[in-house]
Amino acid sequence: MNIKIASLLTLGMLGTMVFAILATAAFVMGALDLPTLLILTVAVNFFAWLFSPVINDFIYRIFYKIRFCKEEEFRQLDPELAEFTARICKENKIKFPKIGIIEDDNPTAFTYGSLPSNARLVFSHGLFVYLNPDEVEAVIAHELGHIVHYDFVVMTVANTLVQLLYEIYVAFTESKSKNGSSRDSGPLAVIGLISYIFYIVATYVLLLLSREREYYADEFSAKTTGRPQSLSSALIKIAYGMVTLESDVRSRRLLESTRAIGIMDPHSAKGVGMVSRLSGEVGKVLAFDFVSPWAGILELSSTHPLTGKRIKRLDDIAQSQGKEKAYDIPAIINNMTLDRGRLYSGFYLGAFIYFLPNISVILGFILSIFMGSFSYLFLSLGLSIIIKALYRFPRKTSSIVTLLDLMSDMYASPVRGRKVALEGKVVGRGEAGAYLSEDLMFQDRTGIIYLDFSSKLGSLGNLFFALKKVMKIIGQEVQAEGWFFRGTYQMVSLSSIKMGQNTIKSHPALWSIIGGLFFIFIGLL
Amino acid sequence: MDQFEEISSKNRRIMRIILGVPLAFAILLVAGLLLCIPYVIKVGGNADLQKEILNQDNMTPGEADEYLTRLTADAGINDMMSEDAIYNASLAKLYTKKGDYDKAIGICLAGLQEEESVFYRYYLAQAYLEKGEYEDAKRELASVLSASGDSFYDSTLYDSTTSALADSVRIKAGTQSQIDLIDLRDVIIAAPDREFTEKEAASYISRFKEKARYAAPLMDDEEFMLSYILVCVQAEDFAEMKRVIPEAIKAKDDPAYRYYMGVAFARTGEDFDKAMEQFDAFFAASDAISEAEKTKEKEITYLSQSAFYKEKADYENFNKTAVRMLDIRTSYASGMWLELMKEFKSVVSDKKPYDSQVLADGDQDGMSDELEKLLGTDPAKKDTDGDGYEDEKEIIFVHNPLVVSDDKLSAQGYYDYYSKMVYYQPSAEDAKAAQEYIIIDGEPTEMMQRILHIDQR
Repeated sequence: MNIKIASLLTLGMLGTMVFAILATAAFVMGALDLPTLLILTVAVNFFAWLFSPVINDFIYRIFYKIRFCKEEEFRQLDPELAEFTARICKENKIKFPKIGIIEDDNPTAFTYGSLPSNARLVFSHGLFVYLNPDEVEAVIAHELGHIVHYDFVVMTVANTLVQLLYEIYVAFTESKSKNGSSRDSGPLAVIGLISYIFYIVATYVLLLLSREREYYADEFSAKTTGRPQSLSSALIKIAYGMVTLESDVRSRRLLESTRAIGIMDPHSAKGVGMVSRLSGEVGKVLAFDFVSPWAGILELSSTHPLTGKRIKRLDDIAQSQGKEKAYDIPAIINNMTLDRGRLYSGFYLGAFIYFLPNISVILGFILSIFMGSFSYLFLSLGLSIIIKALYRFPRKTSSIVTLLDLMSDMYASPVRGRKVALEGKVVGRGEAGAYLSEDLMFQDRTGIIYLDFSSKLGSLGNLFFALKKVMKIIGQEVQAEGWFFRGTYQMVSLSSIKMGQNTIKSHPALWSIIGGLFFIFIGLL
Repeated sequence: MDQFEEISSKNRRIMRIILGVPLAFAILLVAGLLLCIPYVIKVGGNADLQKEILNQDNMTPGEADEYLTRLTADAGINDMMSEDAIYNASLAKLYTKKGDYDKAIGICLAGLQEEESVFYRYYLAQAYLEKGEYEDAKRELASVLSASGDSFYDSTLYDSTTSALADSVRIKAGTQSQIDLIDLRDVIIAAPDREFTEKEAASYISRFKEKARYAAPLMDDEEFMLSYILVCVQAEDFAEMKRVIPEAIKAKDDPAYRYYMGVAFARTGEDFDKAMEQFDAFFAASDAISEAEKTKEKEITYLSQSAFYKEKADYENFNKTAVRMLDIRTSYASGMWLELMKEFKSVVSDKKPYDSQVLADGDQDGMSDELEKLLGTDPAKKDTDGDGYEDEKEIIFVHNPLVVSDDKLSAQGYYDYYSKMVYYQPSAEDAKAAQEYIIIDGEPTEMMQRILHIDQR
């Protein structure tokens, strides 16, 4: 639901940005003129949007092993959900979407398409493993909300506009005016610079828009289902990964059917996380989004709002619908004992380390100019990369914790990893169905989390791991060690994963350190 | 205040800073850039004006003055541009156009102190040019020409303007050289009887050569050119003659030039054929020249030619020259034949002193077989062309032994021969043989009789 559409948007943006750069290069080299460039950009984006359902179908079939099923088949598999979907579609006068299923226990749902009439609604098997029917309906309603709101169109148009700003920037700063007059070309260059500033601001506005669309879809879901809290608890399960292995049996025929297809080990997924039971603890999980200084800042560059904020809004909707608030966040925070010094010193130091390579590039550049040699630039860059890597992955002994412990840790940082050991089971791929991805979805008795694997051989080793090892690990009881990071979402960078006698090592800092040493080597030369 | 509010407000503050600082910076930047636009337009306008000025070729001092007021209207821009090469170059150009060369030169020199720019060099060259300091102009121009066109504001403009400047420097510098040349001309022409000492001649030639690039207009000044050629003859600088005369001929094809060209060819020793061509052209054009004079000139050429071949012991060409001389009926020819015979004898006998075959004379005509082969006559026939005169006699009497002679062997021929004989100190036997064959056309003069000892017969 979140990572998928985010990555989709990112991919779309990257693809069209690459196009923008290529077209701009063609412009600079004189193969295109400005109007052609702008028209071409709009046209390419239009066609990319127009054909995006077909293109994405292909991509998901190949890389995610997605399986599409007809409305009738879906009705057979899960009559209630199908009926629910059909009702919303009818109410909002949209076509019943094409349904795609991913055989992976990582719970996720997303949608894509170019218009409501050709929308695709995709969910993973894991959605039914961890969510109860109400929550599933809330999630599906959220996704249908994206379709009803024409979000594909809105985001494509917004993205195109941002690209146009970039192209205008390049065109005006690079080109001379037609009659070669400096009177005309000087101001054009100034306008080009302004449009570059606008472009940078606009990329953040684009993300803001994306976050607004999420709120909007949440609202749609809350209003359609009439149960804002179903979506809240679904979010807590999917976004925070807070699920428990309580045996509140949920057995839909869909679950059975995907099992029957049998790609996955039919492990005894009984379940559903029961959030309300944890509510006190979960409150702490939510609190991070309000307490940590990191949260708001990292949200700026995220396609999705902070989950805590979404839940708070859903609570407000619930209140306006005459229901009780489920999570009294201010009260939870007021009852916490917080070491303010630790919270902020960690933040300031983390922020400093996070930007250290950028700072060192600037300082190194200035130093290089004064000393007349670029070796200082490379030395300071290499050194700062190594310092950052060492800071991110401190060499400490790990203690066994639960995910709930980690998610309740207000001092967690997206920069400084916390060395932890987790015991539980690998339930799927890091991205549902993405069989070329080396990352894993892990579950302990309190929740699920994304495990980031880094081979010492770099991306080739990662690919090997993805193709050869991941299938064997999925479904296994493991002990995972690594560094916990939390920003807008949470993850563990693995250092090792142990299955019985078998231990697989992961080296998240290795390539950063090699890169840093490489720069130092260049600097010394 | 409770903890939630406190932390939220603190986090909001941090957010405000993190968002606000770059945003404020961006807003300031945009505002600054927007504020810049009028200024940029102004600077751009000034830059356009600079270009316009630099592109304007024809400009009256009045126009220059007008441009100057426009260019320097804004004190702020003047300040900012004070180190800009194009701006200063525009100023320098305007001052040059106004006639204030020293100010223009001053601006460029001051600019060059700060920055080496082709603009300064270019307009410095122009100012020097207008001021009349051609050597300085040429020096600056050289550094402009050696600079790359990329450093100029417009490479095509650079090409055209530089070549135009180069042309004008050349023309003006050329004018100066021409003035020098005219001085030289006056000196040369004024020389009494066109006679110079060798030293004078050499110095005139070197002065002329120095300005050779600008000498084109002098090439159709016949009086000067002939004088100059005489200078060359006197200095024996035939190479210079060969260089100058064809150009003079291009300007005007004067027979005299042909003559001196022939002289140059003949004197340098190798181009005798060319020399003869030139003489023929000279003779053809000059009706006033008597046959005798023509013959004499040709004779001199052939003689130097034969001397040249003799020096090189090239008997074949020596012989050919002699045959050609026979064609113009010059008495020197027979002398040459005899010379050849003598030479041949000595060469051959030096080579093969004990070989009796060398001097064998199968047909008994007085010339050995080997020599006859060389001369081209038949060693087996006394009279190769069958005209009744034996080969050797024909040679002695200045006839071609290979061509039937219609006329009788002449007394004049014999006279010539004899004078040669005297010169070559013939043996008494030779003299006697010669007398035997004399055939007199009419009465011999007293002098002839005396010389030929006819009275003794």
